[in-house]
Amino acid sequence: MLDRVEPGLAPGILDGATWDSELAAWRMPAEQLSGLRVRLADAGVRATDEIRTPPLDGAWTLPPLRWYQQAALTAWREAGARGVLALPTGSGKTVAALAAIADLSVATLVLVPTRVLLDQWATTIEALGPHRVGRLGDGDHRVAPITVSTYASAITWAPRIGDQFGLVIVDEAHHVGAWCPSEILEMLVAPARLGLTATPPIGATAPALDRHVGPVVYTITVDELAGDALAPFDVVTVPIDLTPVERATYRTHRGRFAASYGELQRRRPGTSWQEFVDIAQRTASGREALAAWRASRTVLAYPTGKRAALRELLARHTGDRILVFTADNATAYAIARELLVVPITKDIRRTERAAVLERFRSGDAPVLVSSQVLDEGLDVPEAEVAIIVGGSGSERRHIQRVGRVLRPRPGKHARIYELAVEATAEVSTVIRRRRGLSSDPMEATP
Amino acid sequence: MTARALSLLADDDLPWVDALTGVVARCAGQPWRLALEQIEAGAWMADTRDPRDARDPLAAPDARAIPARRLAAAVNALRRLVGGRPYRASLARRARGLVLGLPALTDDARTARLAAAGVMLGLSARDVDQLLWADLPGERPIELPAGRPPTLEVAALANVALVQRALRRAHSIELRVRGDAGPLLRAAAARGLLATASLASASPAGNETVLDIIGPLALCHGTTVYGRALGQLVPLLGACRDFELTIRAEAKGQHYQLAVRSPALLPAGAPPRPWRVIADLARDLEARGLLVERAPEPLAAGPALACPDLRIVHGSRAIAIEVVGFWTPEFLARKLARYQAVGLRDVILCVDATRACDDDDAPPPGACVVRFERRIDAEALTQLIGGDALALD
Repeated sequence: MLDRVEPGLAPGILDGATWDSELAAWRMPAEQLSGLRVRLADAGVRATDEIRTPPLDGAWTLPPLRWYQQAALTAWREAGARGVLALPTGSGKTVAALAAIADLSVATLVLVPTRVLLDQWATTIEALGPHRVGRLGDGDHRVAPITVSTYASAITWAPRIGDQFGLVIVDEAHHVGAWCPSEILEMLVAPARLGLTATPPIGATAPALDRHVGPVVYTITVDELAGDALAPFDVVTVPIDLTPVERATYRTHRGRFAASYGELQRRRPGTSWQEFVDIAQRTASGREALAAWRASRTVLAYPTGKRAALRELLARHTGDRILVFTADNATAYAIARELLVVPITKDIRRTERAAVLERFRSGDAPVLVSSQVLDEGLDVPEAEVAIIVGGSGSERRHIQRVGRVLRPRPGKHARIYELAVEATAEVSTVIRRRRGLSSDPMEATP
Repeated sequence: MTARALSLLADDDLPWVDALTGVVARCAGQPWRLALEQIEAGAWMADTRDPRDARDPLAAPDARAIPARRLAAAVNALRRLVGGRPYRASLARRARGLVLGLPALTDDARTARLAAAGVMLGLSARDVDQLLWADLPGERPIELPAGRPPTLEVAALANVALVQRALRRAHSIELRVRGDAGPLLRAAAARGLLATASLASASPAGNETVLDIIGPLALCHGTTVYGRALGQLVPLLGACRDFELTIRAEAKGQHYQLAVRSPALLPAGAPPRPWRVIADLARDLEARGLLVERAPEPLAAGPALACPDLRIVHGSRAIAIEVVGFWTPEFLARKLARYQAVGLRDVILCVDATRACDDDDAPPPGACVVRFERRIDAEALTQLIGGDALALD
């Protein structure tokens, strides 16, 4: 509250504020509070500020930080305690974040995308810190000086608790601006902001992350940490051939799709895939082209050659913990039914999923097959072999998948197998997604 | 702001709904996923295609293209009609627990494991194989116990879903009913909705009831539960001869209005079940020797309508009791003002303590409000009725 509005108040001091005639007050997004405080102080304006974020007491029992965690935190502090750390999956992002909380000793809100991550974060904080952790999401509505919230719950709670935290940590921060709406961050006064991701966004959501959390202040790639903070690993491409019938089916569908897609590109060069889909859905021939594209992908999803290769790899790694990644749920179920291994999909409920993960850890069910659920958020440190039967060309998704098997353990050497059907679109898909693993794009060629 | 008509399925849509139903019916006994793949592939749309549409992705939009939202609603309606429920869920989970584990790398190993699980479950190996994913939405088999569902029923159910979806984004709803509004009023009350009924002041059609209902987006808590309860009104609209529903809603920061008017292709819903809490209370009060009138006539004064659930005659006094589900202090104050307007001063509001929808859950000052959870304390109410501190200020 400004004690009084001085005549001739410096222009720009209330930048971003709008006059609310109903309240007879100026309003501005909560996240601009710290900037306003600075401007008011610089201008010597007397103001009553009733927002106090409580400090945190007590000692943490954190493990010693690794060199890159230390470097990342230093970079973040030097950037004014705002910014994003791009650290690979399994490299200890959570520990780095807890060190930031301990360092600032201020009430903290942790935003996570899923209920599984909510539980993982809360459990870790309670194990390493002296604080009882508040939880918002998955049926819990408890707010504490350190609170972990799912994005979904934070949408509802942010207007009520946005003034209670001095630091906000956004896990899987590449979702800011999409799954994690920017409005959540606008409603938080916390001046200190830390984003954690293995895959900083480069598309449409990148500006939202930069604006509400800060720029990427530290990046380290998987291959820079392999053999050090991450398990050393090999990526092996397994070439797959189609049977003559499969090849003919693939060519028919692909040709049908390519005719429409090529015609569009000829007439409108540079049309994006999404634009093509939008246009195609409006006409019967366009829908047929899309159907042909889907059918061609179905041929590649799990042809005879992939079946044989998968069996061979599972036999070769008997006794190892193996994650099998597929392009879609249908293939995940097909593999699970054929080989009687456990699928993890969005349809499998939480209690059953927890039981399955426990069986995976114990070695009772050493193979998990999934299309998406294992990509992000589930902690399966025992996994040492990944078999990628199918997937998209997304670098981000590939890094997340590979990261699942890179958590270090003495003597561990991770293996990543990518099954790619020769002389099909899948080869370019594999090349595209592999770029994200390495700081050297030339290493991406299979 | 003018209200845009909510786009519902109409007679023109029935050919493609029929073709869609055919796709699902042909997949009977197979997993839902297969039907969804065929629907997505779109070959079934050939029957509804415009023959002038050349093989050209840049052709003018097909006038008969099916809007994605309506198609999704029809697919969901079919799922509800022919296989929406989990099938032998606990048995399927047990089967998975027994069968899935180490990879079965040979056919013999697979067969042996299924057979062993079958012995434990009292099923054949083939049944165990079929059962593995029978409880999962995409994998459960399509079943047509009553044959192929009628096209009209599918379209009507799809429309229910479309209106319910629109209601979930509503700040407020105005429902005008010409003719008998009783079933809707009772349904709104039975579901505990934040609804205020009044009579239209000047309706050329006469006998018009206006139901103003607060939408889920206007609440602080329980928006999903409330939105679901609100959506349960929609199937009842099919039985209304003449209605007009206006939905004031918001999405992505934009405010808009949607309208649904009769005649609309909606199912004729079953009449609402009475709220059991009220019947239990009436019985409990009668057991304590009170004279209870159930579902008394609504009281009108000008446009204001007050609809008590019970009327207790106690000596020379008549006491109105209304049971309220979802509530806010403001809603209770408005309700009490209506009772005052119709000249009734002895009023008890019984409010569901679990369905407070505001941060502030203090009842309005001067009101006689009894909170309950699941069942109303008839003894406490009897003592209250015996006292003389009921009258509204």
